[in-house]
Amino acid sequence: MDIDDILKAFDQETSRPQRSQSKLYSQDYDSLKKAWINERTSPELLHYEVDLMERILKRIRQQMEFIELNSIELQSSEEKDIKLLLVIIESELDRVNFVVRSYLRTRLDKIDKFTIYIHNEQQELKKLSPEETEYMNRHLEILVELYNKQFLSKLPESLHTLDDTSGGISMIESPDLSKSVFIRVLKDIEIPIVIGGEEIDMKQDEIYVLSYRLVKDLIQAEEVALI
Amino acid sequence: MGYYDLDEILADGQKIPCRFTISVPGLGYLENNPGKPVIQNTKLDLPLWLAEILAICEIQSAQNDPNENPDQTTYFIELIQPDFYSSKIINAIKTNALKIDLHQLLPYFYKLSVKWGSMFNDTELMAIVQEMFKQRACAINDYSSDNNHLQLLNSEFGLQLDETERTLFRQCIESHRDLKNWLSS
Amino acid sequence: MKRAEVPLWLGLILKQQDRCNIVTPSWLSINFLKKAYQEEVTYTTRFFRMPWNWLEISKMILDKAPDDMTEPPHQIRALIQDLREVRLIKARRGLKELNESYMQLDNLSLMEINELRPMVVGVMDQLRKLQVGTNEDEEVSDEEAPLSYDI
Repeated sequence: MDIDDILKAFDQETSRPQRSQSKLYSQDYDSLKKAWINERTSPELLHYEVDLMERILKRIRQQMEFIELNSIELQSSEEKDIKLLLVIIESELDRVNFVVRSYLRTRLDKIDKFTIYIHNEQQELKKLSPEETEYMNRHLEILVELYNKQFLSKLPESLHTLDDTSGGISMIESPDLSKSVFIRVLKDIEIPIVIGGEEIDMKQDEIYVLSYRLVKDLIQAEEVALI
Repeated sequence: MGYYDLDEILADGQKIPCRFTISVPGLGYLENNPGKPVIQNTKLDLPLWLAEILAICEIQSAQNDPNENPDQTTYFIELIQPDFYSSKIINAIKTNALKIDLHQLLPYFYKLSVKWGSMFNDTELMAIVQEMFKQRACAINDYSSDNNHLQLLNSEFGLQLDETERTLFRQCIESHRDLKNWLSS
Repeated sequence: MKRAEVPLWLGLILKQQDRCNIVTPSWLSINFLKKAYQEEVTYTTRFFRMPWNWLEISKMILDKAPDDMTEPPHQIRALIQDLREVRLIKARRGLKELNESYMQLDNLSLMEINELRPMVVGVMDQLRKLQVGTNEDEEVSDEEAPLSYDI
């Protein structure tokens, strides 16, 4: 393995027309980045990327095994380029790991913030991975127990609820779908968007700031991208 | 609008002027007259959260008076236009929005305006408030993007921001500073 | 010497290990940046189209591979700085048009958007809350007649 081979591997990715395995990996990485950015910029929790995450996590495990295996070999061999290769793989692993962690943490953050809302809505529960569901339920349990011990038990029974919506303001915090978001138009949009009586024709590459709920469906259809 | 939002709670505690449409026994403590009734037509400043309820709470007369017009519902209180929306203030806003001391006028001016706007559908008033916020927000951003933000903090305008504007100011400074730090890192 | 196209992060590792030189992108040149600056000054209502990550890429190359540049790095750095400032001033002027419904900001790049995001989102959201009657948030539960108040 020398530097030419490393370069060749990258060349193949961009030049070979058929869906080579490395191309698939790089597509997965692009999808992961997109899911990460969407999760970070949308006010609501999005669907967990089940299949994508499974492939990515599997690949991370494989790469880590590869590094381990070769680190042992490295000690015995004189080869210098294997060291370079490992540095590169380690860096790539770091990069992917960062995005994976940030993606998951962003989701946990939203799950913490909107726990009761998500807990009470069948539609929302479907967005969670099994691990996230378990996390949320456990977290809610602990929280309720803490509240009860700390002060709720000392209040009249009628004030014990944490999900009362009858007053002026609902106790359940839910995402603000009207929040403004930045988007980039990925392809010309055929049906104009109506904002306050005004029709807007969105063309490719244009950048807008507008209310999330107006473009929610277009984001899902991948006609516009959150920035 | 969050249930646990402290600013929201504080905004709800802002007092606004009201007039009692009826005499209510025992409420005298509201005007430092404990044990006494509040007399009809008394003007009082009540916190928004209380005024809001009393203003939409219909009075049910104990004995159903057949002579009473059934369409004529009465409420405990009527809201009076607060000073911070008086024509004097509105004119001052129109003349130069940057010169208004919002902090002194009402530290939660915009939060209260949002509530007021949805209570009364006062389109005209809200349009003026929107325009004022826009002008002041641009001034805040201009200050925060240069190394000017310390100037703003010490300037008259800097002391005259309402809480919403202060939050915006903080966010703008942070954002500009983050980028600058990154560029010079 | 062999030319190959690799992701920037990989290029930077190879550069660090003295395994490659980084070919400066064509837009990171005195000529191009001067032209871009001129365009920014000439057309006051729109932004010149720079690469989506021009601030990030130029910073990384200037920091990590200045010796690979054919033109003096300090001049490039100064031009980048000028361009950033003229665009920021233009954006700031554009923010006077902020409203509660939407805003178009074509050709603004990622880092510039990040810098303006809190301001733009904060102002638009607040204006929307102050907008009477179009509060999509509250699915208008029952059509209550608005209250009125005495003056």
